[in-house]
Amino acid sequence: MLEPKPALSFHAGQFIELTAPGVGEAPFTPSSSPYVEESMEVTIMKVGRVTSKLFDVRPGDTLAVRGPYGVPYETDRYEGRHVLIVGGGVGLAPLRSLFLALLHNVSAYKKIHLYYGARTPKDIVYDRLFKEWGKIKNVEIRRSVDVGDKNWKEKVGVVTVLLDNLPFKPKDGLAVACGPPVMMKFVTKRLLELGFADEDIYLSMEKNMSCGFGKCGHCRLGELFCCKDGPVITWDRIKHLEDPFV
Amino acid sequence: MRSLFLPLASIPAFYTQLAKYGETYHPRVLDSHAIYELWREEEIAAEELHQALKMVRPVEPLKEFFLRSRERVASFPQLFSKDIKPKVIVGAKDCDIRSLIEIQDNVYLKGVLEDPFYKERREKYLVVTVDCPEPADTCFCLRIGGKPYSVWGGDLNLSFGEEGIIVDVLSAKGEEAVEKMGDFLKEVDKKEIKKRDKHRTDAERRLAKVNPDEFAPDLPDRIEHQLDTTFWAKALANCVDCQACERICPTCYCFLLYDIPVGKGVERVKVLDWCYHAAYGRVGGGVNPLAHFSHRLRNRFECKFMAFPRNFKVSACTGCGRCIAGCTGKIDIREVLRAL
Ligand SMILES: Cc1cc2nc3c(=O)[nH]c(=O)nc-3n(C[C@H](O)[C@H](O)[C@H](O)COP(=O)(O)OP(=O)(O)OC[C@H]3O[C@@H](n4cnc5c(N)ncnc54)[C@H](O)[C@@H]3O)c2cc1C
Ligand code: SF4
Ligand code: SF4
Ligand code: SF4
Ligand code: FES
Repeated sequence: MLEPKPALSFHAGQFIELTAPGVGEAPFTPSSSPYVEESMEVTIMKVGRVTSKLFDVRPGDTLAVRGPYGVPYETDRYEGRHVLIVGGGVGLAPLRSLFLALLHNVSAYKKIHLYYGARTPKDIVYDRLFKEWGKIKNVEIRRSVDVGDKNWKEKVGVVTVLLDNLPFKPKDGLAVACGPPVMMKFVTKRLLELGFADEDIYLSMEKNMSCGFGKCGHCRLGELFCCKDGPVITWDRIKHLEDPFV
Repeated sequence: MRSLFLPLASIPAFYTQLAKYGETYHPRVLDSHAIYELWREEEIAAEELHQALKMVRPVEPLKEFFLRSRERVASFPQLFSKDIKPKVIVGAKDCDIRSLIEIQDNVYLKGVLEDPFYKERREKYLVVTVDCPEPADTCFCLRIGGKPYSVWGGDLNLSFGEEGIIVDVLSAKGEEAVEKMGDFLKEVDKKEIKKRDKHRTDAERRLAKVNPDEFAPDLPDRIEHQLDTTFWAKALANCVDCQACERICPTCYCFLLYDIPVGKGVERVKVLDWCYHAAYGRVGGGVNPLAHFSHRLRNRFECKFMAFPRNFKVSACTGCGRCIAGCTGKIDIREVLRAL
């Protein structure tokens, strides 16, 4: 939980650069609602130098943050349609702020479908929040794990198994996905098979980033820059590339 | 635009006059290459300076003056300010000035944010471009939107006439520098201009002879569709991964930000970066989409000849030939482009 001073407002889909003191910075997408302005939550997976240092941070410590950067989700395009959110692993963290933003105006959409896959029941993020979300009218939740345990009653299999028997017609909706590259690749393939239009598949493209605003070159993906043209990019803009998910 | 005349013998005095505007760098010959040197009002023969001006682009790319290879860009909690003083850079060629205007300016002055340090240097530094009467075998500006002489983009341009040098005033900054010289520069004679024009056509002819073929007009598409890793691996067969080609390129613009602890605070440093670095594309946890060198090579071509032209209508290469001249593996970028 961050309390940026002065308050830093963002739109779902945008990201920030967060500094671990003395180590460096890394891009993160807030996982809290953009409607909450006085604080911001970030869900972080410990994978390397910056993220490890952030795990040592204690309440009350001062961090540096800059942003927000990137293009928000075009939520007004979603109104009156089914919104399918597909998350894999910690990829749900950035989708959470979109989900919360949609909940803020939940009746504007036909229905919000939150589909989530994790490796095992233990790897599920926001496990306890799912129970509350499941009670909300206009929200459908599906979950799967690659490997279940004796208490697991929901689906078993990779996240694409959740896309069978969709309760709406793909042309009445759009899909938003975030997760590890292989998951994104197979989810996109499946969404296309199901008949989602190229421009209705929203993908969070997470490349190496340094500056966050289209200068340093690192996040280039074809002719786009994930930081300033994304990080959320629709499939029609990258489908000509060899393998955008490597 | 107005044109003035500088007799050859007055080149040293001209540099001293320019130095009134700011610290002046000029080309000097070293081992048959031109390199930039600070003008210290030493006794250097006018003829030697003249020879240096006639050489093709200096070894160092012009961007070195504007984008430092390593520079502090922020600090916390103590703040800092930079005192950027005017400078004069004599000896940039068309391929160099275009690398600023068509490439670096697009990156560093446009878009979401501008780089304040780059901007200030662009505003304060005076660039004196110089014609190339003797293009080298590695030069190919003519085939990539340039000329062996510059009629726009710099502040002053020097070209070679019959008996001396023609000074074209190309910008308000150039005018300011010339005004500081009083009546140091003279009226230019028509026959000087005539000779200059001949030098220019001869240089173009020579370049066309060295580079007889145009590049394919659809290079961006060709790169997009060249997905065969063996093509890139072959293009790279003699590469020893020294990264000279990228370090010396006037158009490569990538950088990396990192932090260093200083006292009780932190400084953020910006270093120029190269996509041939194995860690360039590395993301959290060690996953690397550009792990294989053939991917990084393709990335360089994608950046220069696909993404940049699609975004800015111009290739991120000005044909300066530095990467050819500097390559340990004797790889010629023109051949790779033709093979596509
Ligand atoms: C838009 C966006 C949003 C994101 N949102 C989230 C989020 O909400 N939650 C989350 O957990 N993650 C998120 N990530 C991923 C997160 O940014 C990475 O996990 C983080 O950058 C890892 O940093 P690290 O220093 O801990 O990892 P490391 O693996 O230590 O380092 C990764 C970075 O440091 C460089 N690096 C490391 N070692 C070297 C070396 N020896 N030489 C050169 N370079 C090196 C790499 O090139 C890379 O840039 C997001 C990423 C993006 C692009
Ligand atoms: S200069 Fe030549 S050898 Fe060195 S990295 Fe570039 S292509 Fe390879
Ligand atoms: S790629 Fe080579 S020829 Fe082109 S601008 Fe860079 S160094 Fe010059
Ligand atoms: S590439 Fe053209 S402009 Fe550059 S040094 Fe050679 S001849 Fe001059
Ligand atoms: S992060 Fe620097 S260009 Fe995108």
